Amino acid sequence: MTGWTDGQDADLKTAAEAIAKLLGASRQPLFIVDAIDLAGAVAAVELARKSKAVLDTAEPTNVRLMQEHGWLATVQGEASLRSDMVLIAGPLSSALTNDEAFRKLAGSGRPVVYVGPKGDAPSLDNLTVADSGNAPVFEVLGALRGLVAGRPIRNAGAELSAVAEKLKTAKYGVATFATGQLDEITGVALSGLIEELSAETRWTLLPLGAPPGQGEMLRMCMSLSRVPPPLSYARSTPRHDAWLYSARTMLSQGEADAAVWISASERPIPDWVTQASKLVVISAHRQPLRGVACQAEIGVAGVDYAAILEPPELGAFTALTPASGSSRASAAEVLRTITLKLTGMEVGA
Amino acid sequence: MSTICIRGGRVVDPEHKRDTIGDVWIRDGRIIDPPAGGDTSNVETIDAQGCVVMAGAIDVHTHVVGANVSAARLLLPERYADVERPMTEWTGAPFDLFSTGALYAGMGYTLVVEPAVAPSDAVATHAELECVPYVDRAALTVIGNDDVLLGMLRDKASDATIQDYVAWSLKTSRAIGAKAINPGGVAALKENVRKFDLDDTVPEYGVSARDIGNALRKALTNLGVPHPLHLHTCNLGLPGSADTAVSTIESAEGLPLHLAHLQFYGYDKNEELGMASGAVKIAEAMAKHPNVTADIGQVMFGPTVTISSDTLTQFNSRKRAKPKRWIVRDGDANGGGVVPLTYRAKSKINAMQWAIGLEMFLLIDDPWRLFLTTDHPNGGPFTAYPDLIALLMDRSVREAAVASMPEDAMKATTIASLTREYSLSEIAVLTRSAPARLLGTRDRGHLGAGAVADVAIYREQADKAAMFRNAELVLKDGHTIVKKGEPLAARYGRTLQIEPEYDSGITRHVHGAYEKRWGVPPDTFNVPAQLLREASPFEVVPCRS
Repeated sequence: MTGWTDGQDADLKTAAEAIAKLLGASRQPLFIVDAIDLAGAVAAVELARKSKAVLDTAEPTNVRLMQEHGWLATVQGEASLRSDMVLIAGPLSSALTNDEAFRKLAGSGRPVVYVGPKGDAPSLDNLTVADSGNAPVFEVLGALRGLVAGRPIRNAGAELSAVAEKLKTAKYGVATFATGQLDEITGVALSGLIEELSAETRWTLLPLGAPPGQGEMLRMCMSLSRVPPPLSYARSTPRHDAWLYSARTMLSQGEADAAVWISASERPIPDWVTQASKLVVISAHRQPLRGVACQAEIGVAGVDYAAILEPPELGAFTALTPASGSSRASAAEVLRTITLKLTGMEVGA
Repeated sequence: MSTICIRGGRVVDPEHKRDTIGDVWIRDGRIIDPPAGGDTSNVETIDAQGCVVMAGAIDVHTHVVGANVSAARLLLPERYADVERPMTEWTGAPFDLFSTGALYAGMGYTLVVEPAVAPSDAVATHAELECVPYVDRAALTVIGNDDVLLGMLRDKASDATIQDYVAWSLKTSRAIGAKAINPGGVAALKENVRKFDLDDTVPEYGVSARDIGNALRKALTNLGVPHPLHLHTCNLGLPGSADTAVSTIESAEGLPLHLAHLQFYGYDKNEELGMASGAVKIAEAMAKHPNVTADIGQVMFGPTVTISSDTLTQFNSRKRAKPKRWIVRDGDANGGGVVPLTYRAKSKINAMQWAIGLEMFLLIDDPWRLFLTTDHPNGGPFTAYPDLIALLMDRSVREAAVASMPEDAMKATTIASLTREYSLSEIAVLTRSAPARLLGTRDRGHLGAGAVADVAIYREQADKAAMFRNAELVLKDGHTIVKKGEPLAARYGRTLQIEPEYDSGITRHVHGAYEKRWGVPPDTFNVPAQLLREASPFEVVPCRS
């Protein structure tokens, strides 16, 4: 196992000690979890708890949307087999349009309705555009909801009325959007539309384009701590607050004096993270990264070590065993080593 | 490990018809016969005078892990917002995994069964189960709304093929039994069917709930799976569901059948009140059909969240959510729904639900076929079990509660006329002996030689709720894990599973459906022997030969 402290080579023990020392000295550590497997997520929660840290995922999730309103959803397998119409709520993102499940769903010749600015509409067969123009997408979704319910909607043209009628003809419609990209009001408008359509037929939600390794952290965080990220372990009971404990907010407001980036992948670390005053990296990068106080190398989950993962293309959890052995440590091994060092410090103190 | 003698307690062990003052001996994690010759050297003695000594309790139906439970945690974070409330206090949303194990152990429980594991989520669900400390765990795999089984029934597959598929599902998801949740009804919802009765058919497949139940019962019986089909039948929670329950009981045709959360089917139609109790007719049906067992799913008052893979029921009840948010998700087979609500003693409907559950406990004579559950968290939290035990054991506690409920709601039930009081031995049957028999775990649920040394010791007192809320001492595998209701250092137990045999050629039948749905081979969701730790958590419970 390899690590680096202040850019210098260090074995895992030394790197773990340095990370534990840094966490022990931190006023408010912040864990930013990117890609991780289930065992790694369990170990990350334990270390965050021991360090009284705030923990968040690296990319935004749909947690806030799901807490706002009713949420009628489906899974990828059901959507691909059963769906006879697709609604895409803008904005689009490359994460969404590059998602294999999205291409399978929207690119298969099924009728597709896109709600968003016409200029951003995806290039798909059988596409109908409900152009939002310069108006926010939620206004169009709200108007469609009213039309579906049979309410008079001022300024709704014949085109939008036709879209509403079209949506009502689906037997099993699936509304998709980019994970983490809808603001709350658009999310509420979309789930309200789905709810309205569901009075007579079946419509469901299916966010896509989530980065690998986020579902794992969400799941174990909730199981072990009762609440989803972002959350704080600063008090005796874990506490969730979508705004207060957002990793981006914490760093931009200077609320965290040390950030720990955890990723069982070699994904580049985003700029908003590298701006942290003290940065610890526990990742699959094989080289020391610039500006990092302490770094510990781990393997890639499912490639270097056996791991339980939720691959985005599968949309379900599976146990992956590498085809060949690797000497690289798992995320869980390294995180547990740091926890032991940190706990030892506490005992010593 | 040294020899342990639990000395001088009131030993209540219905499996051995024992309710006497005596000793219980333990060595190497197992109960042993008293050593011959009276040699007491190297014996650790636990003084149990004034205490009741029972086997560790077993919960056969409690939703503690899985994707749907996680969805409930996601949905209701504000229910944990009182930061200074202890982690263990019930707020109406699920506990974390550690607290789950600790709270169960504190009440003397040593084995809990998660009754709804989707095969496609079995790996993650078992990883969660492994994180539940103190107690042993087991899981039921959900079957009956999946393409493979419905396709087999539509295509008139042979009994042997269906049997192999059921065995394959159980083994690859490392379950202790199979559960069917609104079989056919959930699949029908995907085709916009909003009501599904026992003989309605899934449009796409042309098979009914009755067909599915019959096929599964037959397969499980032939496989020698100890736990019978665990059935959440149709029409849950609807007025008139008592008739569905009776029809379902009759449909078993003498084969073993376990009905889940029977209270939620105890409702007759009543124009004035919306519903009335159907407990009497269900108790009569249970008396006529000794092949049928049931857990009750008692309603206890307070805030909770309903968590169910019966998406049809959850879809139809979503607008009753309080607060006004819910999650209903179609799944690859069953999916799940999360709908928060509060049971209020002042609500006529909720009061009737409470009374109907108690009526069932009191009207069904045979405690060996009943199980004490709240269908956690659907009827209330498992932490309410001590209060439920008090209601069953102490008529005065029950009468005081009935007196505080809406009078017309109570009159729509027989609760006020029921005088039965459960004995300690009957409570031990409900919570120990009968669950162990139901699951086929012959070395649990009793205190005979050879049994696993899972022992709960309670200080005997008149207040039965207080008595069962905090066990004086709990031993798991002969190790003390709880003292005066407080868990000691965490120990992690085992996950029990069965390994029925099947023809490996069955994967050819499954392959097409998996390829079509996920584009992956059938072994993709197999649960590996090792999950989060180096050692495997699994222990095999034998099937009947």
